[in-house]
Amino acid sequence: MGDRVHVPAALSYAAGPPTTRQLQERRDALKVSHDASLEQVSRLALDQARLSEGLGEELAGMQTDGLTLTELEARERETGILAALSRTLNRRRTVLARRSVGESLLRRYEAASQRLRESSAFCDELRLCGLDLQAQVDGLHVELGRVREDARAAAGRVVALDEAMDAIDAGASLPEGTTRAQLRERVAFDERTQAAALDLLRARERLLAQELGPARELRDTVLTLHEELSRFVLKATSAVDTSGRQIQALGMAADAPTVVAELHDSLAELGTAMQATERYVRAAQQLVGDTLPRLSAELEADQGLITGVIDAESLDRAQARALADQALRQAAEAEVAAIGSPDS
Amino acid sequence: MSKVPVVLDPARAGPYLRALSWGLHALAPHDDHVPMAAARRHLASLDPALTGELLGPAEVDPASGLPAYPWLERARAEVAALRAGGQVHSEASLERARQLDAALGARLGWREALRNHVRGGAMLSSSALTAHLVRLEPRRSFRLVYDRLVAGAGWMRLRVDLTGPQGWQGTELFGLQADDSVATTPGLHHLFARHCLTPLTALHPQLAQATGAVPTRISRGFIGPFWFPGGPMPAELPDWARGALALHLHLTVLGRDVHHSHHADPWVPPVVGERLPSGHGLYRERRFAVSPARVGHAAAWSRARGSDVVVVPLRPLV
Repeated sequence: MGDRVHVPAALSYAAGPPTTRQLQERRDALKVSHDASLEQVSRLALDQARLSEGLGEELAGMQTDGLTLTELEARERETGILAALSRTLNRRRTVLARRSVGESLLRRYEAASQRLRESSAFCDELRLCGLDLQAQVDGLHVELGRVREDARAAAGRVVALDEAMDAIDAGASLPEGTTRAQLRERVAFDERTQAAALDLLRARERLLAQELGPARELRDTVLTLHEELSRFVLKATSAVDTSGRQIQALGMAADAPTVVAELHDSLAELGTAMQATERYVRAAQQLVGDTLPRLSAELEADQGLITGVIDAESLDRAQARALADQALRQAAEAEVAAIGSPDS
Repeated sequence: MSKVPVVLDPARAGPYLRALSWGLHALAPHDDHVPMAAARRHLASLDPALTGELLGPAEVDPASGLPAYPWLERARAEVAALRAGGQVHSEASLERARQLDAALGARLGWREALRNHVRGGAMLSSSALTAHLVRLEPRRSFRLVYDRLVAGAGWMRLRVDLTGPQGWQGTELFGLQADDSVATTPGLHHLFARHCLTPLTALHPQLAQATGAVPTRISRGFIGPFWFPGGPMPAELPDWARGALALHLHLTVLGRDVHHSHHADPWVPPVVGERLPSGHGLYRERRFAVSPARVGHAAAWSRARGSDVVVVPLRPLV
C-alpha cells in the first residue's frame, strides 16, 4: 500500500516519431532509392557489355593486321634465288605495303585506345556506384540501429505502463490532483498508443532488415564488376600501349623486321585480353538477365511488410504486454545475432 | 639513339610541356605546319597541373624530344571518350566522390577539367587529311593538307597545291561536292600515309600520276626536334644548345613560286644532285626558338654554317 503509482514519461525517438504515414513514406523512399540503384547498375552492366564487345572487335582487328605484317616479313626472309630476285624487285612495294598495314593498325590502335579510356572512365563510375551503395548499406545500418533502440525503449515503456496499471488497480498512492479513474483512463490510453507505436517501429525494423540483404548483394555485385574490370583495363592498356609505340614506328623504322617481331609478341598478349572481354560480356549479360531481376523481386516483396500494423483502438492490455515482451525478447536475440556479423 | 621513350618525373612534366608550348608560341608556325592552337591545347591537356595523373606517364620520344605518341594519344583518346558521352559530374557530385574516395574524386575532377579545357577545340591528330577548293576558274585548283605525328621526327604537315588541266574535274581520289566542300577517299589518305616521308622531288611525279593534275607547290613542315636539359640529345649537339632549350621549326617547299632555290638550314646539309621538276625551285629553312641567353650563340653558329636563320628567344608566357 505504501507504493506510489509511477507513470513513465513520453519517449523522444532517435529515428523520428513512429506513425503510419512515416512508415509509408520511408517505404516509398526506399523503393525509389533501390529502383534507382537497380536502374543504374543495369545501365552500367549494359554499358560494360557494349564497351567490352567494341574493345574485343578492335583488338581482333589489330591481331588480323598483325598477322598480315608477319606474313609480309616472312616473305622477306624466304631463301632461294627466285625469292631473292623477287625481293629485290618488290622491295619498295613491300615497304609501301608495310606502311599501309601500319596505317590500318594505327587506326585500330586509336579506336582501341579510345575504348580503353572509356572503359577506364567507366571503371571509375562503377567504383563511385559501389561506394554509393556502400553508403546506402551504412545508412541502413545506422537507421536500423536507431529504430531498434527506439523499439526497445517503446517496449520498455509499454511494460512500465502495464506495471503502472497494476499499481493503480492494486490501490497504490496517486500523484497529486488526480483521481484513480482519471489516471487509469490515461495510462490505459498511453499503453495502447505506445504498443501501436512499438508495432510500427517493429514493422520499420523488418522493412530495413529486408532491404539490407539485397542492398548488400547489389553493392558486392558492383564492387566485383569494378575489381575485375579494373584489372582487365590495366592489363589491356599496358599491352595496347606497347603495341602503339611499335605501330607508330612501323614503316618509318629502318629495322622494320625487328619492330614487326616485337609487335607480333605484344599483339599475342592481346589474345588474353580478348578472351577476358568475352568473359565480361557474359558476366554482364547474366547480371542484367538474372541477378538484377531477382534482386528487384526480392525488394518488391518488402511492400507487403507494413500490412499487419495494429490499430491502437483494437489493442487490449494483454496484447500490448505480449507485443512488448516479444519485442524485448527479439531485441535481445538481434543483439546476440549481430555479434560476428561482417556488416554489423 | 635509343628507341625506348624517356619517362619524365611527374614534377618535370609540367615545366617541360610549358617550355615546349612557349617555344611554339615564339616560333608562331604558319599554315605550312600543324595548327599551333591545336598543338598548344594538346600540350596543355597533358599538363599535370590540369589533369594530374590521368594521362601519365609523361613519355618523351627518344629521338625528337617531343611528347611520345602514346602520351599524346592518351589525351586524344580521353577527349574522344568524353565527347562520345562520358558521364558529366557537377561540382556537388565531385565533392561527394572526394568524400567517398579522395583518389577517385581526383580522377573524376581531372576528367571534368580536361572536358572544360578542350570544349569544342581541336587537338593534334596522329594522321589527318583535309582538302579544299582554292580556285574554280579558269582551271580547278585544290589544296590537300596531311598532318601526321611522325615517330622520331616530329609533327609534320604535308601541304600540296594541285592545279588540273583545262576541263579537269578532279579524280576518283577526291571531288568537289554540291556545297563546295571537297570529299576525300580512303585511297587518298592511304596515298599520303604511304608517302609522308618520300622526298618532295620524288613525291611530285607520284602525285601528278595519281591525280592527273600538276602539283604547283608541295611543302613539308616539321615541328621538332625539341632539345631540353636532361632530355634526349643528338650526338652532334652544338655547344650553344648544351643545357639550353631549343625548338626547331623546319620547312621544305618545292614549288613554282620558288624562283631561286635556297638552303637555309644550318642543321641539315644540302642534298647534292637533286633533280627538280621543270619550272620549280626548292627552298629549305630551319628556325629556332632557344633560351634567351643562347639566341646570339645560335645565330652566330647558324651564320658560321652558311645560313642566316631566324632565332627567337623562348620566353615564359605570363
